[in-house]
Amino acid sequence: MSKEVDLGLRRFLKNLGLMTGGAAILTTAPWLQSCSRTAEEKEKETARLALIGCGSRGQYHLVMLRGISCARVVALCDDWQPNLDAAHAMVPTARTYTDYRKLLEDPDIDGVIIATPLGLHARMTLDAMAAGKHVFCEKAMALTLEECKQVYEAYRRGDRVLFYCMQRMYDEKYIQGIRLIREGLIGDVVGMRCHWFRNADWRREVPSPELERRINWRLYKEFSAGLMTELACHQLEVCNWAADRIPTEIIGLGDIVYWKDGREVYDSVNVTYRYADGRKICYESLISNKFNGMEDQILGKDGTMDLTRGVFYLEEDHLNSGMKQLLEQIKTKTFAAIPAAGPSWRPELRSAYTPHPILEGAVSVNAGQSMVAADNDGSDIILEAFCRSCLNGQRAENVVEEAYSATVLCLLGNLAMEEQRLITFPEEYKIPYMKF
Amino acid sequence: MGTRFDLLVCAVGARAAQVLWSNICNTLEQMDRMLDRFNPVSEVARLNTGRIRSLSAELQEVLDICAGYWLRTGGLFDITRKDFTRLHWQVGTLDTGGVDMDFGGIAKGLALRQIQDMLERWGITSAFVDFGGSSILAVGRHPYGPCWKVSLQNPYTGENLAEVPLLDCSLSTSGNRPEYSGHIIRPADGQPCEERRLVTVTAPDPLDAEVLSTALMLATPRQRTALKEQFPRAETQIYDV
Repeated sequence: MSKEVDLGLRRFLKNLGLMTGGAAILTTAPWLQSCSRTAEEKEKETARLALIGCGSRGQYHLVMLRGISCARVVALCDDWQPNLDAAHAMVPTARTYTDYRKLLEDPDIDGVIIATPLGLHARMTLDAMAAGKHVFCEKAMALTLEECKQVYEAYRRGDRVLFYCMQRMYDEKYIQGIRLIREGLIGDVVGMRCHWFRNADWRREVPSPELERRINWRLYKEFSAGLMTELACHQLEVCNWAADRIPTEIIGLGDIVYWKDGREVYDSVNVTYRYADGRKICYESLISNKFNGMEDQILGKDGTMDLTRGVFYLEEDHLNSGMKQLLEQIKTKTFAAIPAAGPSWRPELRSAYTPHPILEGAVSVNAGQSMVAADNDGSDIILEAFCRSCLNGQRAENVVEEAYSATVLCLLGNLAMEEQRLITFPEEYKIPYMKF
Repeated sequence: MGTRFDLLVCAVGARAAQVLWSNICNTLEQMDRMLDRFNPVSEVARLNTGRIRSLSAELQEVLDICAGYWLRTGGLFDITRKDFTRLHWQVGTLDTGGVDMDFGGIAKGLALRQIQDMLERWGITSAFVDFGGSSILAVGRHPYGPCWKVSLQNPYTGENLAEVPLLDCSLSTSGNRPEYSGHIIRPADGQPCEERRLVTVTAPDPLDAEVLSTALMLATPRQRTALKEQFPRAETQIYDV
């Protein structure tokens, strides 16, 4: 897949038409407001950042930060020395810490990037905000429902900037795709299908057995909520974004089907989320077969938005009509015959549908197979948006609310699977932002 | 009219194009309200079902046109698909004689004729009008070519049959397809035409093209010769597909 390498928030905003207004985009993705107006105000200033958690994802952020001119990494923290050393080698000027609380005492830090195991997110986020730091935390929000509520409330009470790395919210093809859905391109949204398939054990090499739980934290409930928070979180957010609603009921089945290696979290999950009006998210993740890859599909009465691939399909497709070809010809100043009297059939098989790109030009498609990151998936953009917010103090509208909603849904999915019952969205975890 | 309508107009300002588009849509909607026999409140549906006998001046004009084509095609083009002679009309009233009228074989031609007039009044010198892929009006030429050009596919095999250059003329195709066959009725015996045949007609007048393409689907070899004499400015192709 060819891709256009472009690391700039400015270019991203320009592509979306936000340098010159872009009201429809801001309605679709209000969180972009925080970086669209004041992005250039304090261009000369630099956000002083610290990285807490120097593992593979943390190091990926360090690479991204190199391309962000307004960011300077001044401190690094990890309690696992090899990772701290590796990160220090990447940023030799940064101060190093093994205890994040000591790092938070440093007054010369504007914001922290938290890339630690899920079980540590809430405590570190709360401590960092209490220490006056702006926070950029990896998704999901927290390991438990109660922690999610604590973080959300602390955020509402305070004035610190808080971002969650829900990168699809900063991915151009997702934003434009949702805009097209809102404009009615695929008709009424009638359902969602999301899945994430991999064929890998999700393990990392462990130098000695006592480190198993620390290094392979994703496999154990002490630190991880498994596939739901690690993978589904992103996808559920997209569904809610498209539906502009939060599901009210959850049911699902989870199992360890193949990787029976002592892990505690499911390697196979099927969860159905139902909105109050009957629409459903059909969610599936399995990590012992990757044939189906990763897909986020929004199903409409008149078409299907395949956000992962950045394409849409129409139930009754006229976009390949002769007229469309004529317009292309005139655009490219060419002359050729166009088909007349073409058959007006409707495709009945998936393979017979024609994909139409959401964006013009090449787009990056994340096949979903990497455990660390995918290129141009919005991670770099959201990180730069955070850096801007560290400078101007502007919160990104709805980012925390979206992360909270998605995380709570992931955790309720796990609850439904563990208790094998239909879960109704609990009143105590509803927030005013949610529409049901 | 239950089909798609596309219009490409070149060298017109956006504002003017919007006005033109909305005028054309109005015209099409008016025609639909008059001619669509499936719409129970259309004039034709009400006449067909005997709910009214009054005849509008506009529909009378259409009937006069249809009568002319019925004569010129030796009865092959017949909006009653049975016996055109049973229709009797005079200013203001119509007696259907117990037969239903179906304008499916001419409505798109009527619409294209009106659009043709409208484009001329607007001084449009380059435009491409596509009515469901089967009725096309080409005004002037393609901005980057010496004419407009369409290709015809065999609906059964998908292979290309021909490329047809169009310059200030209209193209009508008629025929059966794997998924839609037998929709043309032989007025003589009321039987559907099931032949695997594709007819194309190009003519300066979109009405001529529309009527002739339907008539040629039904014509015997002898009738074809007669039709050619009746429509000297039309170019026709008949493909057995």
